[in-house]
Amino acid sequence: MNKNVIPALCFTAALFIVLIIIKLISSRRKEKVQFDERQQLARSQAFKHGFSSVMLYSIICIFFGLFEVNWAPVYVQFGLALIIGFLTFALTCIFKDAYMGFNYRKNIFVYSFSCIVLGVLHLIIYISHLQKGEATLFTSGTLSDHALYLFSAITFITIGVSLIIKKVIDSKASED
Amino acid sequence: MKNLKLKSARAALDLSQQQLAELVGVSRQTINAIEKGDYNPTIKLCTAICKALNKTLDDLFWEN
Repeated sequence: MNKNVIPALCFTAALFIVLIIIKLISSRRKEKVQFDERQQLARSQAFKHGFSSVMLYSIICIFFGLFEVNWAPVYVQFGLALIIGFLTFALTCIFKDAYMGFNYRKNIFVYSFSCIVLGVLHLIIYISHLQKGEATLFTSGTLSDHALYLFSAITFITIGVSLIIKKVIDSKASED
Repeated sequence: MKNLKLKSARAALDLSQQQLAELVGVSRQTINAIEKGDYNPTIKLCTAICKALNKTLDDLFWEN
């Protein structure tokens, strides 16, 4: 197997692990996750923002390609597109209070903790590669494939921390 | 524009935003957004709120 594919596979595997955890938690519940009309509207806006950010990123990549600026391997560029789109969607949803359904708030700390743990695991993998001298952030002036570990770590930690911040903001918000 | 009519009707029944949200099947933040005037609810949600608070649409959502 090509060693370059490993970071992308790890990111995908991490996404699947999060999805499995969510599925396991939700399968124990009798009622399904529900979003009210405001949340559905916010989620559709978040999808739009995610799509727009990926489009913008793609235009930048094409622009670099036209001038033959090789800043990262193609699979790293694809991985980053996925990360940017997902992160934009997730952050928009979180701060518009539409990431979790209105009947699905009790497990918010479990979810955010799982995200942070996944992020830290990715960070540990990245740092261990750095320490062994197997990886650097840049190789010959281009972003190395191991950078995906770092970016996925940032993604998961950002989502986990954002969920906690939003929870704290909501709990402090008065009903006046 | 803030919906003070909704807020006062809710307060008159001694309901919190969370309690009203559970009655009509939305999130607390949605009720909060309606009261603050940040979100314009659909007629379906308006009628659900009116039924929960025992008011008419005119009482809560009509602006003179």
